[in-house]
Amino acid sequence: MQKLHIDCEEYLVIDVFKGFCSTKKMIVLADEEGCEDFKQAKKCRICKHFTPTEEYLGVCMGKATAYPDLLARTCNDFEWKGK
Amino acid sequence: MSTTQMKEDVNELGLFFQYGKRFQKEVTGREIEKDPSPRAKKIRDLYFETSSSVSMEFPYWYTRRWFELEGEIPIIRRAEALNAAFSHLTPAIFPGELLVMGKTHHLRGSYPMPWLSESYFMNKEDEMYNEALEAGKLSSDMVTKWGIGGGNVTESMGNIISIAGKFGLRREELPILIRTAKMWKNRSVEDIGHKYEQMVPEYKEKEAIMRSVICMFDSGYTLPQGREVINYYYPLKYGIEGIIEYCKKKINEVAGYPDMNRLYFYHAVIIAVKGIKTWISNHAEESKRLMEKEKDHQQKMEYAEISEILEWISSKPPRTFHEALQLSWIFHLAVLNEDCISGMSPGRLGQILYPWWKRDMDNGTLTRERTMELLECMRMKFTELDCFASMGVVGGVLSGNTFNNLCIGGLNKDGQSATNELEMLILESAITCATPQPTLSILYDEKLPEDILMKGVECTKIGTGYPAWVNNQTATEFIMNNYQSEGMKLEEGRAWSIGGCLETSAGTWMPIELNGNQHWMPGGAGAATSVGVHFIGLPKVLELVLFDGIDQRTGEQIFPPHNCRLETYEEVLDTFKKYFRETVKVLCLCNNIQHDVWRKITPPVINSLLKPDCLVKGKDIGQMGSRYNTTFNVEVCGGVNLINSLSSIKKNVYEKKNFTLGELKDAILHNFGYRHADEVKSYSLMEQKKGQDVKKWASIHKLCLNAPKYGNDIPYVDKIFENWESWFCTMCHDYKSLYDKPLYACQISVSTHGPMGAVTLATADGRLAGTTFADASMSAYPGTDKNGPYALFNSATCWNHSDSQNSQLNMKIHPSAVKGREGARKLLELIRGYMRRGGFHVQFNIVDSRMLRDAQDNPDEYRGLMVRVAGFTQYWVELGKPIQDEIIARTEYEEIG
Repeated sequence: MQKLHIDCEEYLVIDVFKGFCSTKKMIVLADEEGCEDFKQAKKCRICKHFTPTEEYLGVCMGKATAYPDLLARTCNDFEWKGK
Repeated sequence: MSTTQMKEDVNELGLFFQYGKRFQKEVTGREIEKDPSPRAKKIRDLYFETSSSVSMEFPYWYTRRWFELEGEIPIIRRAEALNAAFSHLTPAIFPGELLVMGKTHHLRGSYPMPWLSESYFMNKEDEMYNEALEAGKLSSDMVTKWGIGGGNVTESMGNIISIAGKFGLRREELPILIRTAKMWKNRSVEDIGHKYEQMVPEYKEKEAIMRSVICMFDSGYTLPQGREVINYYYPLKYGIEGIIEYCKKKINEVAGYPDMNRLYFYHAVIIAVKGIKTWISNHAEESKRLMEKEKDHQQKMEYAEISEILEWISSKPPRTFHEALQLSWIFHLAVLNEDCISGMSPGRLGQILYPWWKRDMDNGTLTRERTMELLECMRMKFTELDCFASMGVVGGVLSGNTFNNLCIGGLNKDGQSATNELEMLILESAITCATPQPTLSILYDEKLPEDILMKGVECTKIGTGYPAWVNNQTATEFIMNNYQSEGMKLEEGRAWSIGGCLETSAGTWMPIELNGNQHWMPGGAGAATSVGVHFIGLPKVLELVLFDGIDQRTGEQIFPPHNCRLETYEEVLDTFKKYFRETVKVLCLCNNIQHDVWRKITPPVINSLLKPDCLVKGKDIGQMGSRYNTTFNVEVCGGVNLINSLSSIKKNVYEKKNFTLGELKDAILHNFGYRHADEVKSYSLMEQKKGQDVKKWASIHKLCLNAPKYGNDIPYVDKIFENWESWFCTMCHDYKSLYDKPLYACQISVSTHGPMGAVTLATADGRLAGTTFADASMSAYPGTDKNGPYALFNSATCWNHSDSQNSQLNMKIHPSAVKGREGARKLLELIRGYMRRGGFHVQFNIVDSRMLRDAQDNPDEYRGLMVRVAGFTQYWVELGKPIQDEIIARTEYEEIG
């Protein structure tokens, strides 16, 4: 799986195109490959409560609609998939 | 000015577009240029590189929680949904910021609110979109053109989808946007409102009115709140925990007693405020996280300070100016996140925050330089605001602006000048850090000291269009006339301020103790204004009079045929009034229903907790919890073109009999022989192209153009204008709002003169089809004011401005005319000249029109160029071409003496 800047914990979103890397202190493009310090950000897609159903959509905890790219840093129910 | 002086500048229509002799051969730049602090410059540079971005985080969590609570009491359900959304917003703090937090984690972020309106998000082929089209709701979208530059995401590219040519959405969020929107189908304010507004007997006529874009847009589900002045009093005095404690105490008093809605309201406030508290705390934690990994010492210390400030104000009242400013900003954001809002004005912020600022300055913990940095950061925060609504609303009406008006001056509770040293710094920061938001207004009164007025002139001269100059006495008179029936006394009338771009709004004074003294804090005390009847295109109504109720653009019968032969001018005028009344009536009834549905489904919780006297009464704004509730209005657009057209018809058809009405109609249908504006891609009379048989209508066109025009101190046309104003301002009172209060007149154009001109045929004043109307309401039509500024003032003030919520006058002045201290004095005298005549509002573009033409050709070289459109300033590159053309064409005053 690609490790893109937009999926990194240290990626501070500026807009839909780009963000600020708080490790390298520079502006980076969202869809470009991340660096060697890449740290996966909490997102629904890597949460164990998320089940994908169709492209860009899924279900959270078996009931609520969710989407894989939703940031989950503020979600109290987030748990890493496979951990 | 003589004809020979300007010979080279006269276009083929005989219009000048300039007044006075041109002294400068070279393009003249703005005289005053100052730089922001390095900190603000860095933030502004980043802003210039930032695109408007939409995210689904807030609507996702709002919707999820809402649907979990099926059957719950609506206001509790609403508060829980808001709580979930605020609590889950991802925190974002950008390096260098002193003031933090935004609507979303994007720097320039916003999001859709499908609970208000969802049909826009559907695909064009989608059934809901077609239904909306049938209802006429999207017609205005089709005639709106967006700016091509700046932060607008005008085209889809890569993984980014352009929505409405303005906002960028990441492709991976589109399915959840569509899914969420579909969940609100038949549940949104738009859909439920639509269901019930159809029960109004004249509903079919309303649909037809919307399809022909006689009215620009609906009210209840588009921008249901705003054009008002916020009130920061409760958070500043009590803090978040204090508000929660207050509500708990109130619950103990009201639980089980009659008027049980109070119980639910107080409980809802607690729920919503707890969501805001979590939102702040999440940012405090994020700042702490950034601080721990930060190596740069200064940045590390700043993250630490931000974290500490946020942690404190997440529960307690502010201790310092910095904390008070930050907390005010957070509650401003919270209200903007609650509803789709434009024009939520901070009001007299310098007077509100003065006690904290004075204390910090006196005890040496704050400096002037630090104050300037904080104020510049505040300007950037307001500038970063975006409002997500349909293209017709955001583009055609708002031009992407959000209208947060910060007011300076006016009088205090005791009738003395209310200005202070902090307001001087606010003006200075608007000079050093020139950005569109917050726009500034000076509440002009003869009692204001000379230094604040001269500082205001200095600011005006930077050419960004602010401050607007607004007449305190005229506004107070309007406020007293409008609100004394709700118990307002003069002392409180003085607390008024501007909501949105130019909506005079009721205020109040609230007591707060600081530094051992009692201060009277000004703030908003009325509900949203500019709700009700939105923007009736007056020339379009006249067009339908001439063509027996049929819209010639679409061929549809809009109004019932009047079957009147229009044999006299009086018959024309009476028929116009009849059609206009029908329009106001049906729009008022339908929009009352929409607003009723809005208050039932999405009651305002956060704005209500702020606005006196909702917390005291236990009622939200929708239940008339605000102290003042006479706030619905009738907005019109194109008034000057209406007056000039009536003048032309009266003179040419009925008095001089230069041509018949039939001949005029024929000329109008053939656009006086010119090609349509859309064909030539030019939207003013400055540059239009003739068709092949232009000669056939040339003499009629010339007579129309030569008919007496508003703005020249000509009694013939000014009398028509005075009669119109007198009738219009009175007739509005015949219609009642949802709250059983009379409507009043509102006369601003925002950007509607572009799209509404686009759907209107040529007019009897010589204006051509598809070109914009005159901007604002007191501005002369470009190129037709030939007798100088004071003649324009005399025309504009031939009626009593306090009969209306506002009036609006834009002037464009060449920088050389106000150069130096002598020029500044002349400009102040000009302003005084208008204010002393009773004019309500005047504002200026100090710019060389040739620079604007160059900016149109080379937008990449003018990213930071700003202009005054109507009641707001916007980046040139983010404006649509019709509005750009209109601003270029505005008469440029080379002399103002």
